[in-house]
Amino acid sequence: MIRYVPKAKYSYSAGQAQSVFLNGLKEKKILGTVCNKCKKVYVPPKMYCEECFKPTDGWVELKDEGIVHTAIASFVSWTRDRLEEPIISGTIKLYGSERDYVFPGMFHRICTTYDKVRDMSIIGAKVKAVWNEKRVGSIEDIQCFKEV
Amino acid sequence: MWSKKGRIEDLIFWKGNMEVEAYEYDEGNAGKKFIEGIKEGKFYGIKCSSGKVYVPPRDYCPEDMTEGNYVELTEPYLDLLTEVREDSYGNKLEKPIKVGIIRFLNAKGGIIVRVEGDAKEGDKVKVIKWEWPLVVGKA
Repeated sequence: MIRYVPKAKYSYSAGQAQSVFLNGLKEKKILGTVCNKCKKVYVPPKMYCEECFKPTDGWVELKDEGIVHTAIASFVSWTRDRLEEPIISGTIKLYGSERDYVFPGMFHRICTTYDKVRDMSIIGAKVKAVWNEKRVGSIEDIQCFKEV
Repeated sequence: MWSKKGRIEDLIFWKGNMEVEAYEYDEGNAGKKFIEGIKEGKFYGIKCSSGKVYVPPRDYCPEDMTEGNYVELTEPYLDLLTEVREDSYGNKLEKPIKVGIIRFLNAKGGIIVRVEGDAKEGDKVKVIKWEWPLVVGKA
């Protein structure tokens, strides 16, 4: 009989595109990739344009502001605890695109009030990233997107 | 044009350990015989009614599902040889490890071993260390 405990170590990589993106956050930069053929900008970045089936052509820096595209208030935490104060998150459209549902954007927390989510007045509001003082190259380097 | 750098030091990694249960694996009758043989410094295989010899031995002959007879095998030769330069986590090894497969004439199957010295593919080899992993060198 052979008894063994497997040493199941893992090393999960953010990959070529998202490693650059996360390291960019350390310097308060939101970086995306661009496809020169269809002009689509990818945030979070991709190394491959999924519309043109070709590699993307380079990096662009985007402003750390945008408009709220969707928002949701959750009374359930990450660890499934009930929350008194809701966590508000949503998608932020980083800059204008002619196509409503295809845009460079981020899914992040939004610093706003529950009432503004309930009456949906937050949708379309202009927001700006609130950066942490100490940044490590993580999506958590941004505290939230706050209304301006 | 790819704008990727392809360099491992430019990438972000998350490392950790997965929780896994211990397992128990039974080597079976033939496996037990084979392991005992290694302790005695012998290679055992099975000889089937068809005349075919299998190494490591099996509990049943694949042709007719009968139990074969254990036979001792001698004079292994190195069939395949390769060099390992990194460990399973991608760290460079100080010294490459040579790994090969030894086989026996007129027997099916082979055994993965570590190779020392300058043995080449096709050479007759002898076992230097009768322990797992088996270490062989030029005979």
